[in-house]
Amino acid sequence: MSVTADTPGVSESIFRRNLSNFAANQFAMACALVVVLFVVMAVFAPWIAPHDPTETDLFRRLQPPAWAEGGEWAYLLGCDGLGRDILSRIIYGARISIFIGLAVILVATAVGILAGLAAGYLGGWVDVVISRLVDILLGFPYLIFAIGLMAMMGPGLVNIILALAYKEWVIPARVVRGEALVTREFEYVEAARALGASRGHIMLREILPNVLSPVIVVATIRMAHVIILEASLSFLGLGVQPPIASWGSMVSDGRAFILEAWWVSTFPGLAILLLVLAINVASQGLRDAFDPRFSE
Amino acid sequence: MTDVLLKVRGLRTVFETRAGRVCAVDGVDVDVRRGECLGIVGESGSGKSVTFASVMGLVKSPGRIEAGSVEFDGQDLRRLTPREMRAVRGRDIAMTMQDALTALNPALTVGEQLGEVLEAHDETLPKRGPARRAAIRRTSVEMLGLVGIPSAETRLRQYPHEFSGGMRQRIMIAIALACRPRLLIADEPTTALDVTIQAQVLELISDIRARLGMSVALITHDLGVVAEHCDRVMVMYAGQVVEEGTTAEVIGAPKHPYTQGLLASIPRPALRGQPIHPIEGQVPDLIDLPPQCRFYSRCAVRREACLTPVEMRSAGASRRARCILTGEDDA
Repeated sequence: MSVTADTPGVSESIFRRNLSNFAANQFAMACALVVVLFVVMAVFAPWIAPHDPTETDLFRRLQPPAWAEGGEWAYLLGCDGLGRDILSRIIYGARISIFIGLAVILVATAVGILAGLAAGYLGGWVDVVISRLVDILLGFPYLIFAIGLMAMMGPGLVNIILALAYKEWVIPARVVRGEALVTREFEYVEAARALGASRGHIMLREILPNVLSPVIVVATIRMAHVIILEASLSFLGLGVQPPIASWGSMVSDGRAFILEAWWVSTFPGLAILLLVLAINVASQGLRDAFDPRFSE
Repeated sequence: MTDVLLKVRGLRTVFETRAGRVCAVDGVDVDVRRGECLGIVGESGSGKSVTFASVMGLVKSPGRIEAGSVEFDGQDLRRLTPREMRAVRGRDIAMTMQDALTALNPALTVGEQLGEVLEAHDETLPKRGPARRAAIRRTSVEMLGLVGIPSAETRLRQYPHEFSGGMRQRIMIAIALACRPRLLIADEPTTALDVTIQAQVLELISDIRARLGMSVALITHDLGVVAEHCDRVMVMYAGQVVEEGTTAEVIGAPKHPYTQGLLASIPRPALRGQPIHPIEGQVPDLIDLPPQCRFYSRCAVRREACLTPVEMRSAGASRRARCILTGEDDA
């Protein structure tokens, strides 16, 4: 029993208690902080980045990082094949990764929640149609599906988001459907019907708040996936187009010089690794905090 | 205007299951008069809950209402569109659920849940804006006060898990009563509560009934509860009404062997030390019932004539029983 629940006048929702569980997990909190730093970096990129990420300077072609021989402190992580500052490009690249990650997850989660609620609560032919569609989409390998869509729609920011969201929504949809199937049998749903609530009201007001916790956890875990997928598409040249910096395309750019200039591919690769790892650990922490089996 | 608020005739609700057709409610007639408390007694599976789920139009698949009419205040509820029926639920007829511990939404505050019913049904509220919110708040506080929950202002901001079982039952009643329904269906309102709280909650329902002048259909399996709180009683067995009458008559002089058996199986102080007498045998399987008295296999006074269908028979004004040993044939 927490202290606040005994204090008169102070009320605590299960959701908020879960969040305070999360705050108690220090490693997860540290990782959440890393994610926040990446977000800050992305938002304030023009003020943080030391150079223009698209400015080329052939005299600085493949200049090594500052601490290596021939490096300069003004170009901390060195320069790429066109003499562009790698640090600045990583900072700007965070915008692409995080924006696409967030956008795909938001679109996919919104669609997935609606589809999952409809399938789980309404049942019948609605459930059959949605569930079969989910099964079919799950049958395609994700990356090949996205590559096919990108090839059809052509590259571009909006197209990447659509190509990934087209398949991503099935994940929250399945989670929500399963939870809705359980929740709709609870007596409070029956009670709401007995008090004259409409189906829309029951789905959005009675069921949705009770299935939100697992959806949030899944959404954060999936966001790391989406970031990797975006990097993969960009690596294959199907993502955002040059000269916009994307971590995936930066790794790809450095492939040609991997033996003589390891830093061109390595640093953006490390950026992907660090962000994805931080998101994963933070979302594990969220899961532990939101899953009643892990809290006392 | 008639005296009868809810009038159900020949209600038949069946469930199509893999094992066969289960006729959970078979030809049930119910009258609930204005301002009265009708007790519906019967063991589990006797059809009491399904009868009232049918009245509310809330029978779950694979169940469906096969025949019968449900009239509420002269209006045939079975002819209403789903939208019209939703307006009736909560506003005219409200229902409290069996289990108060699960009947409140754990993710919403009590105030939100109370407010929603008012939002949906209360037409006296100001149309919009802060005045509407203030009015909802005022009514919510008033309702919590009505069911005896102190410091309602703070309590409205709390979640169901912060209340005890008895408190939650009261909140559920407050939500059901929020729009001043004319009929409250209380489905075993006290099963999940301990005895002292039970008495309080039932007292509360009787008290509010008198104050608001509403009718109550009290579904229970406890004849003691009926004796104390109901004007009339309806005893159900295997999907049929087997006896009805005023509480004093039914409990004082039960006509049907089943009612007699129920009363004999209640422990009482006068019979201290003696074994209690349960009714022998089991409720018959509701699939493929033979056309005979449904209590036949357990009846102590059964005879050959009981092997034909038995209809309700009158035994005085508003006193009927489904046994060939009572009065004259009602049909």
